[in-house]
Amino acid sequence: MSKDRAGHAVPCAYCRLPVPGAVAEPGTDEAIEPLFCCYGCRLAAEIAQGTGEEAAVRWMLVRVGTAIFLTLNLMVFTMALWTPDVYGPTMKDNKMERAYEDLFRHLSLLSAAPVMLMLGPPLARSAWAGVRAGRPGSDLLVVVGVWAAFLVSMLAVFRGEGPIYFEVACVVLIFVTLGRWLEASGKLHTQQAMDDLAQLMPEEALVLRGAVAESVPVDSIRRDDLLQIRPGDRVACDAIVESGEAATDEQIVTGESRLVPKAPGDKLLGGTLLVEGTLTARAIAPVSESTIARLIDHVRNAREIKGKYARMADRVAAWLLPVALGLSLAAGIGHAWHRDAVHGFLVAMSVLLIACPCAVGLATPLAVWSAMGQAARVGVLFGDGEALERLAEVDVIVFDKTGTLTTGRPALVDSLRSGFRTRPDTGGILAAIASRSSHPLARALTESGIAEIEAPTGLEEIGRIETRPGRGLIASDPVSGDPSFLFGSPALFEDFGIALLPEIADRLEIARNQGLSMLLFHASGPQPAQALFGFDESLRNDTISAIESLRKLKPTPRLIVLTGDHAAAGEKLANSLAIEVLSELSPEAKQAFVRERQAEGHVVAFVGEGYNDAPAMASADVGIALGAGADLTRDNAAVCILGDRIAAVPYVIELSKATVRRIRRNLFWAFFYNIIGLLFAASGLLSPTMAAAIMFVSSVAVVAGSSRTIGQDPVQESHTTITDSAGALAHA
Amino acid sequence: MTIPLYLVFIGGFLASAHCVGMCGGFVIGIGLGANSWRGNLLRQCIYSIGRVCTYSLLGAIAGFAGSWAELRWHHFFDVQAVLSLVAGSVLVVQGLWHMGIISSGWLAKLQKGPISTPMCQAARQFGSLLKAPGLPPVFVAGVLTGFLPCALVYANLGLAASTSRLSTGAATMAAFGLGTFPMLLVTGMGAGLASPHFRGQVMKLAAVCVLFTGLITLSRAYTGFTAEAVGSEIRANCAACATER
Repeated sequence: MSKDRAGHAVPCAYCRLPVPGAVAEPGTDEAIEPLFCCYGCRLAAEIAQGTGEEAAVRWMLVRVGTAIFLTLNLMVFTMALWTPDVYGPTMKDNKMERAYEDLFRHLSLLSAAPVMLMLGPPLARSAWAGVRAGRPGSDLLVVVGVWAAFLVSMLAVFRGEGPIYFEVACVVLIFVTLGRWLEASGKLHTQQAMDDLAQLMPEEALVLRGAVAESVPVDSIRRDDLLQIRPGDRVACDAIVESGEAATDEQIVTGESRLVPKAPGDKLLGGTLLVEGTLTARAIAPVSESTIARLIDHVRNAREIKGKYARMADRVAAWLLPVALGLSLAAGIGHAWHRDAVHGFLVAMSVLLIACPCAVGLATPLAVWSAMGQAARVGVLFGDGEALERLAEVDVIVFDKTGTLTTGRPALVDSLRSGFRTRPDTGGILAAIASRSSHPLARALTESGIAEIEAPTGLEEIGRIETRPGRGLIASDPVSGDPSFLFGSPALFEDFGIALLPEIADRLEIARNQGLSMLLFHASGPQPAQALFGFDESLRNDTISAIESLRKLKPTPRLIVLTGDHAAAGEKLANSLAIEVLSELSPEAKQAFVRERQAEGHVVAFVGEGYNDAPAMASADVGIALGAGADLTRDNAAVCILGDRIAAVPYVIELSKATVRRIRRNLFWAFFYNIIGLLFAASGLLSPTMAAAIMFVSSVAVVAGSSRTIGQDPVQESHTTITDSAGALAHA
Repeated sequence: MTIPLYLVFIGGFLASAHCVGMCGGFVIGIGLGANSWRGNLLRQCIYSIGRVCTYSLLGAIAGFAGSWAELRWHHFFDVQAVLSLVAGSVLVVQGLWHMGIISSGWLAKLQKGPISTPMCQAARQFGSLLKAPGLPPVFVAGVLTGFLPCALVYANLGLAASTSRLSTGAATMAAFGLGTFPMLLVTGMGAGLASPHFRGQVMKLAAVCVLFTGLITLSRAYTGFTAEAVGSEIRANCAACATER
């Protein structure tokens, strides 16, 4: 958007979308005067008076309702002028007939004037705002047309001769008003669906000021304020627990469905729900910088970045207005030449109403926002609208293995120790070194294997510990400088030329063939002690069903797993999932693979947990980060899945495909409808009243068609599959 | 052969047992805004007058549309007979549906169908009108109720169009609207007359009446097709075709 300019885009005062062309000065949050992105929003805001006061809503409804009633009357009076039905075809007396005609003409004026006064001003204000902002739009043309029709007719009534066009003015005004109002409510509706997260934020929080807890608005919370949080409260901002114990539900920000226990020193995330217990916590960030606020910002920003279809619709809409104006003028002049000026004016107005591109411009964003809102409700956040559209075109899906298809929590399945008996303190040293490593395998070891046997001891004996990235840890003898203890992968042992004891070497061979991941330990000395630990990774519960769902997609995408693990581990995965696996790839090799597929013309999605495969994820057309949790900014993922649910991947792909199908259908019909309508209008076959009615129907169709939830629509072909994966998501 | 208006009235009267199902909530809501039974009576009357106004005006427009179609297309086919055929068929189907003779699958789907989404959005803001103090909101609520999608209204609008006259079209729909008046008034006044059993009985009668009206309309179509029809005269062209008047 216009963020790259000096200021930031000003949000519409009603639907919060950026107002085209309006940029606020840096430092100011919003314009002093409320700005609206369209007439519909202005009107809707006037109806709701910003706060949705019932009396205001009612007053506006009464205005619109009365206008409809008067316009109906007007239509009947006008029709009575066109047909002798009312006073009978046999009436020969010309004087009487004229008297009736005059009566109906005056009745028409009486019905039309209040309608113009009730509905005319809001549209005129919107048109005027457009003129002042330097972008006079279709509103201005409609206002001019409507008032011209009304004033010409009024003069005709007073003069007692000439045709009247009150019905044109009133019907156009009513349909334009209703159509825009409907569009604005559709926009607000889809925006609200996306703002579900924001709705959950508490408005007030309990802050300890001295000894008493005061309820203060959350915006006034500062760093280091002490918050009191009771069961059922949502944590207002990120904080550290000072006292108390509790269980929190963090699903909304991390996707974790189990309750998370909290004790003093633990971090609380803004937006999470305290389920039981009471806590006192120190705020570490104001609300605006807390986790939930960043999540909300992420979702809000996403809808401002338009995708291919939205940009196309915008371009066409921008281009349609001058074209429509030109066409309208041309058709008007042509018909005026042929027939008369009044007829030309009516034709010009019809063309303008038909060509007014509101529905075309709205079809795409409404569908995209609706889908993004729907995804957000199941914990899938899109970084931008473009990601949604690109995802629908993906034909190669690349997976990372560890932590993506597998749980990322390896389980110890094999262990062998040699020479430990002669050196009784070795077990404690192994435990101590293992506890210094943050590698997932080492963590699995400390959590499961050795912790049961030994307590870590002898740290002072070990000396200085060095980390060799991707290899392991070494501790050197403080005197000789020779490595005294090694802990890491077989590659680390090769680097240092450490020979393996025969027993260990044999088992290493077996474990390797089984596809296990391994850690080795070596304690040097005259009688070296060595240990081998083999780990297996288990597949996530939903991996198999997710892969199956992806295989059912039409057209079937190519699925491939890239892993840094050794070949045997890759082969094992390939067998269990019947999937293509490339092993022993460095992060750079993964990135190169993605680039090669793109060079071949494929659209590639990369699914990973985002930490170690950042380059590949950044290169992919769509990066999907699993287990993104609270930290959405850490990687280049266009799609973030809260929690570790791989089942969400087929779900979002189906959702995006269904959305793109809907967008294409919407755009096709909107264009088709407009072009057919234009032809009729330009040839003079469509009156302005009919044109306005047709455009209203088009607005109804667009709003109803775009803001519907995908997946509950029996007409959608993807109905069953998308519901299946949504169900799988719910159970995952 | 014209449709006697009293038949349309009776059709509306009996069919409003069905209206109570849909609009019953509205009239009860209107009662909530009144302080006394007199006030309620006045509000109920104003509400129904609003409804009848919309029906009549729509009827007039339908009648005019019928006469316009006749003027335009009478060279090609007998417009009045075709309109009668359509309106009659819709009425017969409605009648048979309410009698339970034909199944309701697609009809129900049509009613709950694509128009329901915008309708729902509108309905949320409608409630505040009903309970509002003062009479203008009640009248507007009545006017807007007249636009609610209802198969019976559409069928009778078809009937109005088939009369091919603005005035008779308006009269037809006015008769229908006035027919629905008593039952909704009684419900709105909180009387217990509209018990489910009673309503069930009236519904059956209504169905027969609607079927009967439909059959008469169809017979009009039949006579129209077999005899030379005399169309009404249109003096000038209208906005609907954007030609000179």
